[in-house]
Amino acid sequence: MNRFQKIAWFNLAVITATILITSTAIAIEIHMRGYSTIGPCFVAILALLKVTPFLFKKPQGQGKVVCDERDHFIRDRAVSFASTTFWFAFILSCFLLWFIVGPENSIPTITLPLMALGGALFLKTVSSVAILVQYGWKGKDNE
Amino acid sequence: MNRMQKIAWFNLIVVSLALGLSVVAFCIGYFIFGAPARQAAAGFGFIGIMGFAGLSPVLFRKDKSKVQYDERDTKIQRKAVGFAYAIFWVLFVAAAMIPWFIIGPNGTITTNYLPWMVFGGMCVVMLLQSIVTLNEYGWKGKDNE
Repeated sequence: MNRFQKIAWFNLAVITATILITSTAIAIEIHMRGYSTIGPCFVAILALLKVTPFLFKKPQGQGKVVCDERDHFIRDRAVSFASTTFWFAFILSCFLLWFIVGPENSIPTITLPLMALGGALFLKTVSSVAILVQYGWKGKDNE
Repeated sequence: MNRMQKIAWFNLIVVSLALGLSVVAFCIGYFIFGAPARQAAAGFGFIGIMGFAGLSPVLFRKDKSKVQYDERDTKIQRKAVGFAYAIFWVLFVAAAMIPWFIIGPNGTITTNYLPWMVFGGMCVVMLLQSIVTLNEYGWKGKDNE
């Protein structure tokens, strides 16, 4: 399994864990107190996504290849696919919300930052899945 | 001038025209006729002109007798799309966070803001993509096909 595959797996694991832990914490808090204040703080787990350059360091030393044209191609394709799908999801979510709530009504302002957060998670998840699909989900000595 | 340059010019003209006419119509309604901002915003209906950009693949068809794409074209396209999306992402996050800061977390905002975010995003992406494409190839024809 190469470095990009490891990073993609790590990203998927962090995002999944954050969603599970945060929603469980919110559910427990609402069940116990009727409202939730501490639960949403578990979103901070996402900060782990920024640790990948330190956890998965580039191979150093002579004779160690970091990435080749194929790796670049796979990564570019994954980012391009993620951007395209994000664009469709963004348009769909904006217009669906507009149709459901109605043009004369209002939405809480917290919806907007949640959209940005959701968009970032969506981009990261789709690009990680696209990388794993292209390389293969398991290690195949494709380094 | 190659096909991508022609498409970029066409998109640039269409988006500029849509934005320009919208702003002019809004200003005429608001400042000259004294209409309330909500009514004058109807001038932004001219944004619909942007729909013409969807015709570019039909207007600038691929010439099957020539080579359409090489590595350089692909690289330029990737660069243009990447740059446009990078700027769009920053503006999208700003458009999401600024109302939250200004109005406050307990406030509300009209749902009409959401389609405006989409149209604004489309304008930004199309404009920047066209500008970067033209900047990379050169703004005029240089027999770089």
